[in-house]
Amino acid sequence: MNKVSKQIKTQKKVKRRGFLRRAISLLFTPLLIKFSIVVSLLLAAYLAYLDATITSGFDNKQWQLPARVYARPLELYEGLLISASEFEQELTDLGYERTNSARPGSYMRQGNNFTMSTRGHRFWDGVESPLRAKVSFSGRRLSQLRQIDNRSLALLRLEPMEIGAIYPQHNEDRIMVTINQAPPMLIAILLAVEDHRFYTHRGVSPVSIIRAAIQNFKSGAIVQGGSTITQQLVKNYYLTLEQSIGRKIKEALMALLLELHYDKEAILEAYINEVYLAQSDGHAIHGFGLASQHYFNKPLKELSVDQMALLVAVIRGPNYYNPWRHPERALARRNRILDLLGKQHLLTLDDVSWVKSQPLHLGKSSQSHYAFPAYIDLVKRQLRQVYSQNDLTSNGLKIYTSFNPRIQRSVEHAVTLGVNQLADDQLQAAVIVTQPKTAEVLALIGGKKFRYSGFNRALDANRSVGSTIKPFIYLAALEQPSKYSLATLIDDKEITIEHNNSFWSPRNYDRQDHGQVPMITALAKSYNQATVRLGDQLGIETVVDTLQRSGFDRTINPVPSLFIGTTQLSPWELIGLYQTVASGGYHVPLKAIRAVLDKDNQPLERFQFELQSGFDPKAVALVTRGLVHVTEQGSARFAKKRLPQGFTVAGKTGTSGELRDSWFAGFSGDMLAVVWLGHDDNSPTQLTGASGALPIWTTLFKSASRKSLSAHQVRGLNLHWVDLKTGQPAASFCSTAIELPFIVGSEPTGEKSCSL
Amino acid sequence: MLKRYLVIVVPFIFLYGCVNNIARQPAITLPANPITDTEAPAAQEGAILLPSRTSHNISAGGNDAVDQLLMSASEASINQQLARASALIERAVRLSPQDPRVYFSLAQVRFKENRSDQAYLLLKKSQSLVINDLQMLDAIKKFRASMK
Repeated sequence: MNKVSKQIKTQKKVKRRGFLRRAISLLFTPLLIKFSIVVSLLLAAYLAYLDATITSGFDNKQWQLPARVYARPLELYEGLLISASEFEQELTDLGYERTNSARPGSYMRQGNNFTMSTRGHRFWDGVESPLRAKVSFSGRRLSQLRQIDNRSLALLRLEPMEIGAIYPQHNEDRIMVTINQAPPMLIAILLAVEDHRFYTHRGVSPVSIIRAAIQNFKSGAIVQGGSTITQQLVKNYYLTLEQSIGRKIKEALMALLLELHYDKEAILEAYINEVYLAQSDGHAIHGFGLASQHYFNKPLKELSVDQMALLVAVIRGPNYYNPWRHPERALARRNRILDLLGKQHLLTLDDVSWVKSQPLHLGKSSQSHYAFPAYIDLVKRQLRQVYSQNDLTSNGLKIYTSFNPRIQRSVEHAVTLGVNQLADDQLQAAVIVTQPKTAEVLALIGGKKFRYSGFNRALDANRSVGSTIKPFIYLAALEQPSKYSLATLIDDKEITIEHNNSFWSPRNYDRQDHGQVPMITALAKSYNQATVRLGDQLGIETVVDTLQRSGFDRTINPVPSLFIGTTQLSPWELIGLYQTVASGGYHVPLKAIRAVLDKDNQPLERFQFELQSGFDPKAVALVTRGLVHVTEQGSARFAKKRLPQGFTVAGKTGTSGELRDSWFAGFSGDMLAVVWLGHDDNSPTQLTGASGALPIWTTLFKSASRKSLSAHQVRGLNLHWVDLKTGQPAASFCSTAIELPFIVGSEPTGEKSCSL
Repeated sequence: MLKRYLVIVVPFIFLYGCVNNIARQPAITLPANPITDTEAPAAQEGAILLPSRTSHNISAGGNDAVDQLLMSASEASINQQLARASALIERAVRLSPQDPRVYFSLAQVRFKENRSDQAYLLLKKSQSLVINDLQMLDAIKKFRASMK
């Protein structure tokens, strides 16, 4: 039995040896040699293909950089009208940290006194260097500005807040950083966590793969990856997210090739700009530069160690470790990373212990960076007149605007308050605020949901403007001082106008006739009959010409109902008309953009301050006086009641037929604003201009406007007392007397008297 | 044996061939430093005429700031940096839009830029803001005369 079994075993061994011998001999048969050569050539061709992919992809990698949009930079100087709390809010918006440190982007506050270290910024007109300064406030005024060593400082420009971006179609977003701009500690943490053999391997680390495999086997799940940073970069750059052996082999081969072609620093720099780190408002955030702004609202170089550790922590799963949604997970992973840094002697154990005790130190939610879609919409429209879509979404342009975050906040507060009080779910709103002299757009909302993009009512809602058109009828008249002054009497009795074989008889809102009234009263009380009579006297062509010279550039239907505002204008068009009055008679085109720089900070375009000839400043001063009267004794006297005593504003209410639209347009010394309320389906709102738009406008100006309309004298005008009832000269003590400006030669003559 | 050696060696020869390009860099553009502030001597040809400010045209604060901007603009103008001069004056316009000097300064820059129509309108605007400042009015009139 034993012999037999031995024989069988011996036969098996002989058979095995025979198989090996045959296999070895087969290896050298001509057929196999040919097959091997073919396979080698195919492999070589494949490697050549991968090599070409690697080199062309890496050399030509042009990250598509969205255009970044910035608010106006805050200019600090003694006398600036801003309170300490508003100033602190500006610093908070810019991500300044309240700390004892003197590093850029920090400040200290003691009461109304601040010590701050600015970051500096490169603007289109020069560099604003980082500076330490002392700033003091008294009430709503910046009272003292000094350098840290008490040397005088006339002007200090802070860096501008980023308010949005214009994205490419794939919605990737990043701020490019070079390897030298990245904090060394961040790189050290990254390598410690993701690839601590980075500087010794050649693209693939077998040791790491084996270690990860063992860990994963022990855990029964994939808990550790063996991919090097080079492999991760290859995966992000060139490959899909597919999980297969084939893809892993391809990834490893490409990583080897990448390391053959490029040095470690180049690979690391590409990685820190490519790595996916967050999703925000529909945009994928790549790279540490933007992630630092997203998570902490500050530049990368200002991050603390715990913040750097958190950035590296989220690489493993930006959604899973989202620190706002899952703070406990993010904190736990950050702390594991800090422990690792201790083990690798990058931090002392004491430091690890202290840093682990720190909270997450997140900035405000990144939504607030991109919270002004209606304003960004305006910026895009103005840019498209100059740049292609590709320029806007890919070339990293820097767009500097006149957006004022303080005023935007006030607009949003006023609209929220006003619309809530009106308790009408369907009610919509639009507001535009500009600087009255420069025509720069300071703030804008396109609907009552400020954070939603969509129909931008401020720019696109064409609605009947009602009586807000009337000042331009009076302006057309006051340009003829030989015929008209603010005291000229107009008959406010019923009027019928024939036009195109039909008859039109407008009535006053109160259905009353008011007899002979001075023009200033007709304007202030918004009398339809008097205004239509005046328009009829002037002629429709004269009124159309006045509107066009005020900046209206569409065709106007020359019908008499134009006199009381049946014409449909957008809030944007209406504020353009009022801009001409607010700027003193010069038409100044509205603009939101000041300048555009390319990604290398080279100035590309500056949108200059331009004047266009408009009207005689004297006639405009008279209309402005009439509009002040509207807010003091006319249809908008609510404003005078609510605004601080002595704070002068000018404006006009507007209500369209059947109460479909509620308007107010008006200005102070530093702000012009148009407010519109209405329903999108054009159904009646039950609101007049005075009951809907005016209270919102007043709330806005009470909180945001700092300069009263000055009683600026215009050469060629004289002041005279007249009787408001008769339009005749009056003594100043008469109860119905008012002091009005007149163009020299147009003042009423006769004896001064008081009407009874 | 030689054939088997070839099978292994050929791909590696290819890989080593790729090593020649190791020094190539990725296409990341570094920020440049295009704008430099240049020092310029004062009161030179090309400087902007700056009548001294008077009490009536002083708006709420910011006069030292406006003065500094206008002086810097004048220096830029001397150096033929008209775009920079214009940008600096426009900052001054934002700070003090009721100050006739800012429009007068901008008018001078626009004139140098061969934009006489804008220069004329800006002079007119400046003049409309002057009330009792005879020195300012005189400067505007002289400059307007020199434009012809």
